[in-house]
Amino acid sequence: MFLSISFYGFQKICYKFTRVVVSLRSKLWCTKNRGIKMVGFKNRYMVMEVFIDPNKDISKDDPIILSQHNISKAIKDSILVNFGECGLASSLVSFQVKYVNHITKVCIIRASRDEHQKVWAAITMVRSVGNCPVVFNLLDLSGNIRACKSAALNCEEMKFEHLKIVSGALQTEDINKHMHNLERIKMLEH
Amino acid sequence: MAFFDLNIPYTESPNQTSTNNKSTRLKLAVKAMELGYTGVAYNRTITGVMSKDDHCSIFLFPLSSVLKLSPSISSAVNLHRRLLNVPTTAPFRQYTRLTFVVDSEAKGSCLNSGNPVIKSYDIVAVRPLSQDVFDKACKSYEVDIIAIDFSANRFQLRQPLIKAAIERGVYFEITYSGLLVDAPLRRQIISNAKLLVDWTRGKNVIFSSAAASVTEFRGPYDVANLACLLGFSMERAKASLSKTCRSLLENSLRKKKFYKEAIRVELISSTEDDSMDDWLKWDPISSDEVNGNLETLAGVETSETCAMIIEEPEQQNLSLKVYDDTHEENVIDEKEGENMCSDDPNSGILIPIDDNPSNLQCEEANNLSLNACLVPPMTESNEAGLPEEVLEQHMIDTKDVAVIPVSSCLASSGVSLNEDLPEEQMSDAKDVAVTPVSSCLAISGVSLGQDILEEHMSVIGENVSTAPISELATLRPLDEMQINGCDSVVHEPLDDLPMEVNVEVKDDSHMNHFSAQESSSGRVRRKHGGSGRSMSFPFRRWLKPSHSKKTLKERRNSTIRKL
Repeated sequence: MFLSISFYGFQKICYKFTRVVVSLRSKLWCTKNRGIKMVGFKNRYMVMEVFIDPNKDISKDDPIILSQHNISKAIKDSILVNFGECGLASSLVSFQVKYVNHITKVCIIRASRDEHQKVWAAITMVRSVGNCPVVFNLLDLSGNIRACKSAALNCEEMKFEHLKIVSGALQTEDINKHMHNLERIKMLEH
Repeated sequence: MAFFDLNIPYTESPNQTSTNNKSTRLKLAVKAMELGYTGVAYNRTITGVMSKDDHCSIFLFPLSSVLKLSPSISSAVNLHRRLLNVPTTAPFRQYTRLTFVVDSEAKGSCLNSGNPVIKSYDIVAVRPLSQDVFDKACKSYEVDIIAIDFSANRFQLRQPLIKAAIERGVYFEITYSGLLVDAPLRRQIISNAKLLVDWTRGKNVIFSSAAASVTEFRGPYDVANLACLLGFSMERAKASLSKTCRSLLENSLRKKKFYKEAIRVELISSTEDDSMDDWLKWDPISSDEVNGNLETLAGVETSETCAMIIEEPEQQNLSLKVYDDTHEENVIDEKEGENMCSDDPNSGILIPIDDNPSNLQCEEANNLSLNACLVPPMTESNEAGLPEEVLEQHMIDTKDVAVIPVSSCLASSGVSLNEDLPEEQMSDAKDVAVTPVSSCLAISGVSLGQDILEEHMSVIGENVSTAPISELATLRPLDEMQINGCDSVVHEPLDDLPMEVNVEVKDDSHMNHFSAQESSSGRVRRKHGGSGRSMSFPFRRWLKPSHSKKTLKERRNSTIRKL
């Protein structure tokens, strides 16, 4: 009888103990995190790939080089046409093209959480960057920069493999550029 | 989650522009495959009167033409499928669809189930151009889809009609390529389609592109977001691209293959052992066409290579083929005796690409036709007994197209093996758990043991340990021996126990704390009939202090009175 009580009580104490530990740990974790990020701003990070001139053959060179500037301009024009001045103004709060890789055609775009659907729709409706017809395709949508970074690294790796198969020859400078781009992704901040 | 795009325009054309049209269609199909779609339907539009010449003559692309256009497609496909959570080994399906543009009721009267032209297409759609045609389409036409052209809508959508159509099982279609072309068109489409979306509330609506070229084609998630612009929730939007399309395909293929509610009964020879596997391989959305399912792109990944290799000893009759693109040839199996399909001229069975990446590169470099592995299904042993009717040969075709791909078969068999082991272990554990408890019960013969049993079963689960029970069982007799000096209390049955407890209560001088508790619990036990207790012994002691207090008081009173 004593043993039954003690055993049962011991179990209860164990449960309480673990609960206490977990709550303490969670509290510690939160405070640690809050020091780094401002949790007031909620963003969405979209990893997108760009298909340049999909009608043409694959092996030819790109008619246009993607950069943060021209992608950003194209998207802003699209928002203006589709959602008007107010739409553009409210999207511009948190809108930024964070990263563009012109070789693998992967880009990371940040938008605020409230407006991200509008921005995403506007990106889908982009028909051309400069003079060149393009198609955007979403690969991943995440709420924090960490998940976004890991998704982007994953996509970059796979796209690089794909490029290797397409182009066949692999040069050291391509590999260097690839590594440099991976480093750039890892350095991204919110 | 498999995504479908059920409107890729097919233009049957005069010979001059045929190559252009074919190449556009091929490019669209390749793009769809690359972006992660699981199936497409080539849509042919007929206006005016349907004639016998309008039988389905849509050419479904074989794997070779796909690979010719973009040889490295498999890695892109795998990338996108992984991101979309689509299984990478799912086949890419091609369907044929007919859209009949109707502007008057008389012309629409041919849209009934007896029409052989309609039967030759997988999916049938109607495009009404006037109000009465729309009414009839919602109520009576035997179509799968009502495709309204929202860019030029001339009639009103009424809610009872839409409701009637949904109840009948007709789907509505919204095409999104108009949204991407230019602004005025966008305006019209959104304003017209929003009404439909509100009234259907997302049920029975499918989204598709009617893309004229590759630039108007978007990936599944992007299309879902455009649907959200129209008023869908994100969930509904994704479902309208995947689940709704799939149910539509099942229904329409069922209608095509069978007549109304008929059931197909098939003779299966009793010689084979793995009949269950064959039944599990039945594919409800496979169209029985040549090249209908492109079993593809399992190729380049090494993991899938392993799956392929492991399957070989199981299959026992793999053979290497060279698939020629120049004409649709019979795929002749080396072991013809086993393969009934060699008799069938339309047995264009499709084939996973050869796995070695080096091989693939050689192919690219030389621009040769493929080395392909024919994976003959296990159904071949069945077919010897089947009669040679056209229908059943088609059935065989669907089975032979190895509908559930190789690696998943392996996976399923592996999983089933794994499942057996833990089950056995669980049953063993249960057995182990059961015995000590029962033995303890036999020994103690005490409801106390039962309480402990319940407590342990609820708290610990199956892993009942013998030690505490036996100890508890032994505690009891010790106490009782202290009190009563009896020897064999433990072994007495349940019914006698409360009586003894009562005896203890009356014996004041040797009152033990525990025995008092026992008496209270004994009284409780008697009241409640000794069964249906969810609380165990220690809890009861703590939670019912009133009983013990009363009894103590009573005892004191009784002692005082006695004095």
